[in-house]
Amino acid sequence: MKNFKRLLFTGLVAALVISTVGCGNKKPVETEEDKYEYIAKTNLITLESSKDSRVDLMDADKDFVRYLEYVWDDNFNITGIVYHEKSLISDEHKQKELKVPSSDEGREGFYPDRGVVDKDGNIRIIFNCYTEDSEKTVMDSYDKDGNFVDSIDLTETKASLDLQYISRIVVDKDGNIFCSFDNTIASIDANGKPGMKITVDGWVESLVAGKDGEVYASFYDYASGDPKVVVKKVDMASKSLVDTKISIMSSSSRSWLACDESHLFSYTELNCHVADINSGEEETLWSWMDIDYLNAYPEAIWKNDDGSYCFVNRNYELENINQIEVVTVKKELVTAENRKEKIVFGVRSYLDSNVMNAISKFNKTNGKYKIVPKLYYEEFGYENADAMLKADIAAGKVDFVNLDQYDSNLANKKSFEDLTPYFDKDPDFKKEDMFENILEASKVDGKMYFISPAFSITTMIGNADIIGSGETWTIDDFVKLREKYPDSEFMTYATKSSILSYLLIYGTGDFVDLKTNTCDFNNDSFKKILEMANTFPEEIDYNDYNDWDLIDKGNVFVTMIYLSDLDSITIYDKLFKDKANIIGFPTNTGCGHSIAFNNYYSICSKSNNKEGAWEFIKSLFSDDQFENLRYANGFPIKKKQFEMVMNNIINSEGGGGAVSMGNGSMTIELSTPDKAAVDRVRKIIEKANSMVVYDEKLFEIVFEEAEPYFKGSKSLDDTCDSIQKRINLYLSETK
Amino acid sequence: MARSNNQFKRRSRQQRVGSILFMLPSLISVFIFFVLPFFVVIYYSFIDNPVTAEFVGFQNYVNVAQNAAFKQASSNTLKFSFVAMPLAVVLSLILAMLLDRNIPLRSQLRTSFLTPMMVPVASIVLIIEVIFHSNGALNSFLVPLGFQKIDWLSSDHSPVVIIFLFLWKNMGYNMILFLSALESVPRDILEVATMESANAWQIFWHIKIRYLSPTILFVTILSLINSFKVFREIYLISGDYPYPSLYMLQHFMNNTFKSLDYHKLSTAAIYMSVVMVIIIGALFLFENYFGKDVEE
Repeated sequence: MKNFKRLLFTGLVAALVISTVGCGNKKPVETEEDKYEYIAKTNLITLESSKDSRVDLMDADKDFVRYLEYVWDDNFNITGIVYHEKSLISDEHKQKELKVPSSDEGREGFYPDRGVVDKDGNIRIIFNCYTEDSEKTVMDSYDKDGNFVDSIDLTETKASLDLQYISRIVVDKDGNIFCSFDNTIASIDANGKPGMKITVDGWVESLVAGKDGEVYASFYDYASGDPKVVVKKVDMASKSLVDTKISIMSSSSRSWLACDESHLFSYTELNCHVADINSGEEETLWSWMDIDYLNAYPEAIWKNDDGSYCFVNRNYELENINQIEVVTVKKELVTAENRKEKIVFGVRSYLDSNVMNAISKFNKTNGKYKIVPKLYYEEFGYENADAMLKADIAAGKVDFVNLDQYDSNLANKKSFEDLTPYFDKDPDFKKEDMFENILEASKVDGKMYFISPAFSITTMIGNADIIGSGETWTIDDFVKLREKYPDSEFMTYATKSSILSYLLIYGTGDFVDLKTNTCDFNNDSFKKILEMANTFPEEIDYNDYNDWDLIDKGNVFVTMIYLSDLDSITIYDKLFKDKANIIGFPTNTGCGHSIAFNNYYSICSKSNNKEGAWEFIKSLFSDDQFENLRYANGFPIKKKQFEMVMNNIINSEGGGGAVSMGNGSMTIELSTPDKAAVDRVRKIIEKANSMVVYDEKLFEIVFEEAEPYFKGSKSLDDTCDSIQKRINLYLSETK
Repeated sequence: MARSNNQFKRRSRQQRVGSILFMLPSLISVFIFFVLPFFVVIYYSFIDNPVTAEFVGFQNYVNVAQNAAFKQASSNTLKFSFVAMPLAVVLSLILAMLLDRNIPLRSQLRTSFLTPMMVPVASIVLIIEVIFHSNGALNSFLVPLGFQKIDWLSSDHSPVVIIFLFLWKNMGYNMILFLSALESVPRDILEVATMESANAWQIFWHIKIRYLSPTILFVTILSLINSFKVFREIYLISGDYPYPSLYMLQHFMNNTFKSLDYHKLSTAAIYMSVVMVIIIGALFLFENYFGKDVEE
C-alpha cells in the first residue's frame, strides 16, 4: 500500500513537471487547410461605349454587368444616355438609348448621380443641379424597354425629409427608393412623394439592396458603449428598422454589399467578411494584402457555385477608364514550389495609396517575392507603434521598413544596411543618377541607411524689400528684423511656440551636435530666440485667420514654405508682388533649406530577404511612377525623373488653374511655370545639405521648460540652464 | 545489520528523489523566470547591440561606467537611497516607539499613518504638483514671508520633494512592522532592567534594539527596495528626462530599453545588482553580529 501511494505521488509529480515543461510555445500542427491560401485572378472587362464616352457602373452579377453611358455637349450638358447590359459569360450585349430632357426643358446644369435598375428592368436616375441660388433634384424613370416614363422633381421631397442631397439610391422589391444622409434613412415612393424617415444614433455607413429584395442599413450602435456595427432591415409596413442577427464588434468602418439572398458582404481597409443575415454568423474571408489588392473598392460581389467569390473593382489606375476588373478569389493549394518568399515590410504609421499600389503591382508581377506590409500604428496604436517596431527590428521580424522620420539614432545602432554596396552592385540603379547632395545629407556617419524616391524642401520665403535679397540669414538677422517691426504679425501662424519650433526643428544643428552628442542652449543665440518668441502671442484664432490676406496687406513679411512642386513658389511670388526671396530658415551654421524624404526606406540588418527588399525598393524608383505627373508627391530624387516632371509642367497647356483660399476671399491665377522657375528650384535643391531632424524627446524638453518662461514664472537664464542640463542628460545617454 | 543499512540507504535515496521531484516544478519556474533571464542579461552586457550581437568583452562596462548619464543616475540613486533609507527607518522607529505608549487617539493615529499606502500614485503626484509647483501652494506661503520662489520640481531642490513623498508613502508600513516587533520584546527582561535601575535610553539601546535588529534589517532592505521604486513618482511628475537631480538609475534603464540599447541596460543592471548584493550582504553581516546574542 505504501509503495502504491509512493508510485501514485511520483506519477502525479511527473505529470505536473511534464505539463509545466510542455506548456507554452506549442508548435501548431500543420493541416491541409493551412496550406490553402486565397488567390485572386483578375479579368479585365471593357465596358464599351457606343459614343466613346465615359461610363458609370450600375451593378453586376454573375451573368451581367449593367452600366450607363453619358454623352455630353461642349457646355457640359447631357445630351444622351445609353443603358448597357453586357454579359460576363458570353458575347451578349444589349443596349438601349434613353431619352434625356434637354437643357431647353430646364435641365441645364443637371448632373447624374448613380442610376439603379430594379428586378423588372425599370431604370431610375437621379439628377442634381447646384447653382448659386438653388439646388434641385429630379428623378427620371424609364421602363424596361428604355422608354421615358416620367421625370419627378424631388426638390421639395428632399427638403421635407431634411436631406442635404439624394445620392446612391437603392430600390427594394416593391420599387420603393431609399437613400441616406448622415444619420437619416429616408424613402421616396414611385411617385416621388416622401415616404418614411428614420433617424438612428450613429452615422449610416451603408444602404444595401439585398438580393432578397429587402433593403438593409448598417450603422454604428453606440447604445451599448462598445463600438459595434449593426445591420438592420428596413420595414416599410412598420416604417421602422427591424433587427437582423448581424451585430459585429468593430472599431473600423465597413462598406456593405449584397452577396446572395441570405448573406451580406462587408469590407474594411484591411479585410473582407461575409455575414449570414439570418444567423448573424460572420466569417472573415481574405485580407486585401493576402490577395495583393490594396486600394480595392468592390462595387458588386457574388458567390460562385464552386465556392469562389467574384467582385467587381473599378481601378482608376487603368489606362482605359472604361475598364473594370472582375476579380475571382478562390482558396487554392499553395505548394512549396509556387509559394513566394514573404518579405515583411514594417510601416510605423501610415501607408499611402501610391505605395499600396506599388506593393500590389510588385506582388502581382514578381514571381519570387511577396511584400507583406505590417502596419504598426493599426496593430498596436500610436503610443506603442514605435516601441513594437524597434523590438521587431532588433528581433529580425521585419525585412525592411518605412520610417516616417529621419531616425539617426536607430541607424547608429547598425539596425539597417548601408545601401552604398547595393548601389555599387546594381548595374541599373546608380546613386550618380540622383541628386548626390541629397543622398549625402541623408547619410549617418558616412553611411546611407535611408532612401526615398521623392523629397521636399522646407524653407522660408519672404518679401525681399524687408528681409533682403541674400541667400541666407542668421538668427541675429531674424531677431533684429523682429525688433524693427515689433508690432507686426511678422510671420504666418506666428505664436510663441510656433516660432520656437520653426527655429529649432529647422535649425537644430545650431544647438545640437548629433555627431558628438553635445548641445549648447546656454548661448546668446538661443536666448535671443526665446526672448523673440516671447514677443509673439500665445495663440491665434484660426477661424478668422487668413494668411494670404496678411501677406498681401504687408502685415506678414516671411513665411515657411514646403517646396514639393512649383505652384507654391508661384503663389508666394504673386502674394509678395514679385518680390519673393527664398531665403531659408535663419541659421548660424547651415544653409537654411531642410530636406525631408517623403518616405524613409531602410533594409534591416537582420533580414534574411535583403535582395527581395532591395528589388521592391528599386521598383519604387521606376520612371512610370513619375511619367505622367504634374503634381509629384515631392521632387523625384532621380535627376532624369526630376527633369521629366519639370518638362511636363513647363510644357503643359492651360496653366495651373486658379487657386483660392478656403474662404474664397482671394483667388490667385496660376500661370504655367517657366524654365526660370525650374532653375530657381533646382538651385535650392542643389544647395540643401541637411535633413529635417525632428527629435520628439528633445523638443518635448525644450517646450516643457520654455512654457514657464513664456508664462513669466521663470527667468530666461534659469530656463536656458534647465534646458541645457536636461538635453545634455538626454544626449549623454546615447553616447 | 548490513541489510538494515541497505534499507536505510535505499529509503534515503527514495526520499531524496521524491523531494527533488516535488521541488522540480518550482525549480524549473525559478530557472525559466529568474535565472535564465539573468544569464540573458549577462549575455547582452557582452555584446555591442541587440542587432549585430558582436562580442565586445568588457567594453560595455567601461563605456557605461564612463557614461555621464549613468554616473549622474548612479550618484542620484545612491544619494537618495542613503538619505531616504535611514530617514525612513529612524523616523518610523521613532513613530513606532511613540505609538507603543498609551497616548490619546493611538489607534486613529496608527490608521492615519497607514492611509498614504492606499492612495493611488497618480493622485499623489497631482497633489504634489499642486503644492510644489513654482506657482503652487508652498511658494504662495513662503514668498510673502520673504523667501525666494523656488521651482521645487525642476531645480536642485527637487530631491527634497521626492524624499518627502517617499517618507510620506512608506513610513506607515515600516511603523507597523516596528510596532509588531516591539510587541515581541520579552516583557520580563524589560521589567528586570527597570528593576536594575536602567534608564529608558539604556533599555532601548541594550535591549529593544537588539530584539528589533532582524526587523530593522528587514525594514532597511524593504526601504532600500522602495527607494528604487520612487522612479514611478518621478516619471509621473517629469517624464523620461527629468531635471538632472531627479534622474535615477531606472530612468537610465527605461530610456536605454526604449532606444534599443539593451547592452547598456544590461550592463547598468549588473552594476546595480552587484552594489545591491554588497549592501545587503553588509546589512546581513551587521545584523548577524549585532543580533547574535539575542538569537542565542
